[in-house]
Amino acid sequence: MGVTEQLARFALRRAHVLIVEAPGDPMLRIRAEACVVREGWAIAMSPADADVLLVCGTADVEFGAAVDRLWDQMVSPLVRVASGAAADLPQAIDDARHALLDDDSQRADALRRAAGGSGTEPAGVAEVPMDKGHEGASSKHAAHGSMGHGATTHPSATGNPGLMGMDHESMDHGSIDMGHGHHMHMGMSGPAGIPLAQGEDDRDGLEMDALHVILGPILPAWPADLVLRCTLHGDTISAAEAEVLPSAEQSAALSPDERGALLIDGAARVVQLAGWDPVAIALRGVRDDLLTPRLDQRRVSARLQRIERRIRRSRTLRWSLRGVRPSSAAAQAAGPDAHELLLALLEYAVGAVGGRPGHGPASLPAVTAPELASAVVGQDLATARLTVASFTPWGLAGRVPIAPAMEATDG
Amino acid sequence: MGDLPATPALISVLVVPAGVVLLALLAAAMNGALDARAAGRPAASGVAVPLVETARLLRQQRRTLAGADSVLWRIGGAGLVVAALLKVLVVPVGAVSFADIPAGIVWFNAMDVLLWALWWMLGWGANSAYSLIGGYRFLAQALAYEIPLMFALTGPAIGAGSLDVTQVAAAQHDLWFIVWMPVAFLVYAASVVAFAVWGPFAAPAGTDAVSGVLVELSGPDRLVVLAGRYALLVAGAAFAVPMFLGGGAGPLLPAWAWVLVKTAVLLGVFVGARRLFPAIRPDRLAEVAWVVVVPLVLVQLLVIAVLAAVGRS
Repeated sequence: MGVTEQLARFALRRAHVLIVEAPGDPMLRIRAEACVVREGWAIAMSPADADVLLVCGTADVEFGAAVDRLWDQMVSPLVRVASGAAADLPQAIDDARHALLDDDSQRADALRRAAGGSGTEPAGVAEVPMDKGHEGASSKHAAHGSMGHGATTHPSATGNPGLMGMDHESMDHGSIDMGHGHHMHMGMSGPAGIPLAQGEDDRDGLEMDALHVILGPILPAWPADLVLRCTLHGDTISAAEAEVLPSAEQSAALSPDERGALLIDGAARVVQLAGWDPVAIALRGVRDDLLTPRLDQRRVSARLQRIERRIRRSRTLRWSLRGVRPSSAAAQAAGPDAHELLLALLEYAVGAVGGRPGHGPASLPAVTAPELASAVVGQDLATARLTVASFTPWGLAGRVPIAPAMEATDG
Repeated sequence: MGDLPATPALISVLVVPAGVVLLALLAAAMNGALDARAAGRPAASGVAVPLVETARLLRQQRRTLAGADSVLWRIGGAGLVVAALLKVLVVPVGAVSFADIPAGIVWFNAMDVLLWALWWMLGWGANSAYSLIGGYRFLAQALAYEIPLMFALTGPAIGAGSLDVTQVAAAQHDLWFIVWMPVAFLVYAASVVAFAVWGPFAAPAGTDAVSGVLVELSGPDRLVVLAGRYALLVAGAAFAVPMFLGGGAGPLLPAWAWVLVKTAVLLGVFVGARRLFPAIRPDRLAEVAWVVVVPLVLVQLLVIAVLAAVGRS
């Protein structure tokens, strides 16, 4: 017991937290990320990577269902906490810590979840073909004996090949297939009853597997109110449909520091998606310090300007972001690309924290959800993610203007 | 260690894994420290990160998705460390050579090709779209780096007139190969970072694909993959020492210590490279690799071949 508890305490020095942002309040998510990092904890990328599920803001029924499916994919030890306001965050983190330290109840919970996966016959029609998966999982569980290593296959988790927030049933038997209309795979079962991907002709005329992937609403560095239902050939998007989730009311007008933090957050997302994690970490560090009142803001501003220069100078980044913009004719004609938008976000962020005033595009180009959906068709996943992140960093509703002049008219 | 008794089998079984694990921990600790400093916190706070993460992952459950090809998936994950260890076997450490294979360079290359299968199985086996995309991306990336890497490894072989790693190291007693074949060294170094799916070549595990090949991994399965990435960096750094950095040559210290020091320094460079560049997208990388890098390496080989022929005659 002593050793187990010590291991738990040691591991808890760096719990991984999957932060879910309910549409409408990006500031709360930013403060949650700051809280997690200040604790020395890490931000998880996927349910498999997470110990804590932290839900920020108020979720409606549809979004809540997506969160539930995400929760079903997590493995023990695990805990779910929620926070409706920034003031609740420390308490939520504290609750999570206590729950993760409680080895006995984690063990009991793990056994209960495993039993739920292998013993209980699922009621829903869509779940019936999952039986094989359950058998495989339970035999593994028996082979490994004690908790810790039992393969977890919760009913909902089994159906989901890792698409965050959305499960396989809705993906393959739901409205999306009907919408696209070229799938006849109900009778063709692959392993564990999951239908095999069907072939489609790719642009070059060769047949590729068509995968249906739902991007959002819960995805790292993705606007919380946007859902894109995509058909992928390899990693190229061949068809997409957009949906905008309803957002909660935006909170009061932003303070200059908050606006700066939001701009830095948008830039950090683009940089992270471009695969430059250390610089994204540095940007988020500045963002979080900006929201910490007692720190010397001049030094924070100087740090931000150093990072901005570094990003501006990177030729590799320019090479990978140049020309990334929606593929519609209007956007192609004159619109800024992802690289210009990233630099604009950073310039106005520098302006907002008391550096030189910003220039460049004064607001992000207005895009609607259908425009975004048609924009990403023909792009590969990497380009599509960069397009979405640079054109709508925080979602389509309640758009945040990046130039201070625009803020007065909005707030 | 220089005067170890002649029980090479025992040595390789104990010393090689222990050494690789220690160096991998060193690399991970350095990465943790650099990340902490980047976030504006004291660098020391990040040093223990690899140990804490290990404890965390050992405590976490494994998971399997329905329809996952668990056998291939787990072979792919656990195989990375094994491939790294097999690569290190042909590196002479001082007087000790764990596996003195006459064609050690070919052996290293064979292990490298094994990685194609391993990373792909890891991406494919999970039965997850993002993981699969990660697997595709690795293949695209491998297509770009593998040919330049093979040519780059040919350089030292021509220079020394041997495929035996010990002889390649011995051939550098006058001048290290890094000095007269810098292009081959740079291509080799970039390829090491690429086969370890690290830093600018981490697109197969990129955020845009929700961490790609890593997305569904939890617990010990995730641990062996993360350890495998660092172990591959260690293997790449260690093999560069006899190939380009003069093997155990150096003043004062014994040969085995110089091998370790050079490995650690190069490992530090690899870990630091993550900070210098954003991800290079596999689709754009292929073009550069085939249009620019392959001709450059071939010119380098021509220069080496001419110099070697002149030198020997």
